[in-house]
Amino acid sequence: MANLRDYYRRNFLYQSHRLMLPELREKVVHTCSECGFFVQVAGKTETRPGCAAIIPYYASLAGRVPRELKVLEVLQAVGKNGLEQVLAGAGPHRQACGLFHLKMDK
Amino acid sequence: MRSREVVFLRCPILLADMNSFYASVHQAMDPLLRGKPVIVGGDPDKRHGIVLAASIEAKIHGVKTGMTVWEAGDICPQAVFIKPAHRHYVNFSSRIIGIMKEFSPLVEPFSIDEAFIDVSGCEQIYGFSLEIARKLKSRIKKEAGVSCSIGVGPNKLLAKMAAGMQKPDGLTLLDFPDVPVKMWPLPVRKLFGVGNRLEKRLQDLNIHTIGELARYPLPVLQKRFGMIGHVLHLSANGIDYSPVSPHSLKQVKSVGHQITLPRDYRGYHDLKVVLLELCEIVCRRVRLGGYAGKTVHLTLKDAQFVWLCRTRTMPRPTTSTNEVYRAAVELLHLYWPSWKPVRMVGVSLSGLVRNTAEQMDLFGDVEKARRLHHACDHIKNRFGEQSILKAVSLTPESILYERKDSLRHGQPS
Repeated sequence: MANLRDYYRRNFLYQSHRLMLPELREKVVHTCSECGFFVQVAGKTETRPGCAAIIPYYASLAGRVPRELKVLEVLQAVGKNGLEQVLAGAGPHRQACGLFHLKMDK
Repeated sequence: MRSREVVFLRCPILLADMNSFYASVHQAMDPLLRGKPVIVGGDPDKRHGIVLAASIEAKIHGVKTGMTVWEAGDICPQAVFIKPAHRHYVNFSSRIIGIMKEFSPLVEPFSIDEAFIDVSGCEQIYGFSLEIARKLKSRIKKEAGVSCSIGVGPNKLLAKMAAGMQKPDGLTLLDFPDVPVKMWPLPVRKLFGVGNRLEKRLQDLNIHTIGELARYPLPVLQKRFGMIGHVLHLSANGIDYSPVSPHSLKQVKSVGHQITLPRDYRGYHDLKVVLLELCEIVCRRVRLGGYAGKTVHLTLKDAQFVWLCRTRTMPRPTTSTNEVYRAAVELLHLYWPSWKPVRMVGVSLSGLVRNTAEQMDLFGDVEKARRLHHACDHIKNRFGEQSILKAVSLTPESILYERKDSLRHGQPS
């Protein structure tokens, strides 16, 4: 470190003492929109962001998560309460949650 | 403006430190564990047998973090022993950071159970810093079920020191006028940034408390410790100019992985299997982050806990497992005799640069290896980390296969 000003400006005191699990770092750095489970749920009149990790078929990685899911597919898979959870669990700018799985094709 | 408000405006930095985090997470998930002494510790059979966290009830009996599991069992026989489940801790931690980000976007996670938050300019929305701290504590308790200690201060250092002053479930404000009264009588080891070695060097100068360090002549400290001497002098006086930087986590300096082996490994053959698996894990992380690394670090610890770390810098940055593995094996052959038992192995890659360009070779080997890694990464992204393994991972020396086996039986690794 060149001088005292840079030492503080670059947050060196804390960076050199930080203990961070890679899994946590990934979740802190990314947002919901960068998650592989982030989908658009298309209804009759509107399309809203949703989280496919609530749907067991996608959560178990048995199938590729599409960009868009029809609302009927979600209803068939998890029912009405499940649909509410799918829609409540995602927002493009929301901080990544514990189920975060980095999207394959960034 | 009243003087009380001036104090709060001067102290906009908060540090939230979760109390006995790992144990609290288990207590939050299982109501039957609440009020009982809970100890989160490794498996002694796998030689990870130390206490990682003890609940407040266990700490009352004298259980401390870092002691061996059997010692903890002797002190507190009625304790409930739980194996660590890092997936849950990461999940809780990201939820807590999410709560903090609702108060201010300036949140800097410091470890899995600690984070700084700068609430400057939020007075009109949420009130002054102490009020925000109270709201934050209650929301974390209500939504995550974990109690925390919060330190409030004019800078990160004082917030950090304040958080450690009242545990568990504390809320402490430490302002500049409080420094001589509350901070200076503490042992110098308690000052953030002072570790075991630095403490011994300071004791050589007859510095035993933070106050003695604060009053010590600055030129002498600078001559002895260089720039760190100046930082120590400022820190002891409660001065810290470090910003709360939410983006600091985006800068990656190195990626590494280390593991304590289930038994002492002897001979290069067994160790090479572990090295290859570690290189695979490290290079995958490096590729996922979009980096390429140049310097390979090999860390080894023997049965007497004596460790050795050696590095080798490659001619160009790489993401290839094979290249990193070759460098690590060279280091192993150079610096570690084959008869010497190994207890812990670690590999890390530093000198990271953005992987935007790659030097091709004449016969297309680099391109071939890159495509192979790309295909394997796609399979792992799609079907999970254990979906495709190298054949050596099926040998008894493998560490990944053992993990896969334990996962198959539903045990956390």
